[in-house]
Amino acid sequence: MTSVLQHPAIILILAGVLLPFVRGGVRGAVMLAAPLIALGLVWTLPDGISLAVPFFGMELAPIKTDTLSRLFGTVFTIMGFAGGLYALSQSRVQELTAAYVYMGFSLGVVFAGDLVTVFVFWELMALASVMVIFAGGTESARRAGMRYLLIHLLGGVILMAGIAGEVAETGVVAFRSMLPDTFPRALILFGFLLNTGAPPFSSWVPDSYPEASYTGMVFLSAFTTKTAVYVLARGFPGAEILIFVGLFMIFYGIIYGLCENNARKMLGYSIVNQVGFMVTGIGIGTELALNGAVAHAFAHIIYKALLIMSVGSVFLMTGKRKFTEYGGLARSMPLTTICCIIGGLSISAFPLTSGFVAKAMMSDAALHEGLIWVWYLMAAGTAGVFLDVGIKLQYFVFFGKDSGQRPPEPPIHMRLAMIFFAALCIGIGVFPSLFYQLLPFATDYQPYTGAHVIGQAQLLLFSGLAFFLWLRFYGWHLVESLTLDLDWVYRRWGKRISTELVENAGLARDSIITDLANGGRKVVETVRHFHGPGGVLARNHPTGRMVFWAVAMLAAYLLLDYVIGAL
Amino acid sequence: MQDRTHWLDKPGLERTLWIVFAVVLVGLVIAEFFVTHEYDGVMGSFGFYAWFGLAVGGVSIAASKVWKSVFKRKDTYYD
Repeated sequence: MTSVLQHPAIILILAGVLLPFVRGGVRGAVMLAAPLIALGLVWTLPDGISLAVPFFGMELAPIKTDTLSRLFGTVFTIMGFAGGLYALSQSRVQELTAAYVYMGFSLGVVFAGDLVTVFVFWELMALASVMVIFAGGTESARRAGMRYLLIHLLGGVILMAGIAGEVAETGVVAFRSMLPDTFPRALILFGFLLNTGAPPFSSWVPDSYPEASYTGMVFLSAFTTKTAVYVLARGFPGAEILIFVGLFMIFYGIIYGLCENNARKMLGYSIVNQVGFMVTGIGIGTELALNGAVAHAFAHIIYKALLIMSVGSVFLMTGKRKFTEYGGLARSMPLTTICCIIGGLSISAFPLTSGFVAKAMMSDAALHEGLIWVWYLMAAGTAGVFLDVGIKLQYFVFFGKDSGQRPPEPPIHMRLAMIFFAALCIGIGVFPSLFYQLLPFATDYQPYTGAHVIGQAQLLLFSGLAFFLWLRFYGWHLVESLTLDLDWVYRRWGKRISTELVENAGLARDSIITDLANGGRKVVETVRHFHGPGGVLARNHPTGRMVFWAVAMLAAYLLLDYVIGAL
Repeated sequence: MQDRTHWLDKPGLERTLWIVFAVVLVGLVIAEFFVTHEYDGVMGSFGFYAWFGLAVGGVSIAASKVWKSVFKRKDTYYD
């Protein structure tokens, strides 16, 4: 039996706790070594349940390993290493601690073999991740963090209710494949989906992640939504509703991303967009689709982190985050520009990048299942994301109208992290067979056919042509504004309702206190009236009067008894 | 004296890029003659990905502009 210390999560949690107590090179060494050791542990764990714990009559499995958990464990720890490298000069140690503990908890979910363990790590992950947002250090980060926390605690409560119902109904605590065919399972699915950024709560991703620091958002982008993808892939493969949810997320991310003026927020929308593809793939549910969904999750963690690192570098070096404040930065940040372009090509599934070899499997799976309309919508979504991240982001940040700013490249460790991930994006795209060996189902899928490569290149570049034609003939008027989202309901109405409640509750409280005080005063006055000095019950009465009343009452009693007897 | 103008600031760059882009796009369409289509129906027809990509791009941009015009608010809306 494996020791709990061999859990890959433990080393990252311990590293996070240790970070505040070490400085300089030692801190850097801990940040780089811990994810690598965790990666080694991921690959030394045997298949199956390797740690079992009795818990209130149930058998929990904190460590259960298979190809799916190993795939996510691998990419999470690689992400931890690159994120740590990128964040080496981050001075806010509380953010680093929260980020490493957060990574550990996400691995806790990935290796959980039962629903109770999933729930415990799920909630701990939410708490650790909100600390990463709070570490952004601004008032807006604090407020966004509170909104994030409220949404995730709501999801946690729903998930807990679902798990309790599932265990009560079936008596099975193991985390296994299900369909949302009972109310508790529907609750579990809803709880999982909430963390993917599914409707109606999609806005928490672009609302909260951009408020974290330039390093914090890198960590945040990788774990919460992808852990949700993992639990969906394990728990609800083939749940048809996921196809509709995923397709909504794809187009939500595109339209809002095109509307957005904040570069980091736009990347938040594109997280929802990309997770939408994965959710759709899981909903299709065949081996090819599931392979595609989890391969896409693996590739996405890397190229999305690369994009966020690139834009984070620009944010760090300029102190600005809006497209209206950028422009022409490729002149002084060529390496960052190249890395961002590689990330943009990869997220768009351009040939020779990781996105291409991953996303194609899901599209083909839709066709194999006869879901032609899903195929068309996924193809449209692919073209749309190229507009968003492949073109708009690159154009307005690095090219376009020159803002006159000439920020230098970020520090060397940040550049190395970006180069590492850019190389992985290309490496996976060029050598997909190695990558495919990590997938949960054996496959001999061939992404590089002539028709596929030419078709994909046409789809993307002609979509780009639409952007440049629009730019040339209509212009692209960037304005400093926000676009209303469904979070308006709780940010606007919710605020009004809570304000009303607080104000009215105050009035009600004052009224109740006044009434209670008046009532109490009346009771005291009444008691005093009868029992106080001079009160009727406190007076001395003559004996003759007492005897008179006693005789009168006895006579009345006798008379009453006689009348009743006569009747 | 060495010309220190950045290549992005060279005159005529935009025109050159448009020409290169056009050549690539035309080349991609011509290349379709040399590959075997994998799908049947509309998605397997000649030039499908080209017009579909262009149409999706145009519709997406137009939809985002309409959406923005309806739901646009000041940055400070929630403050």
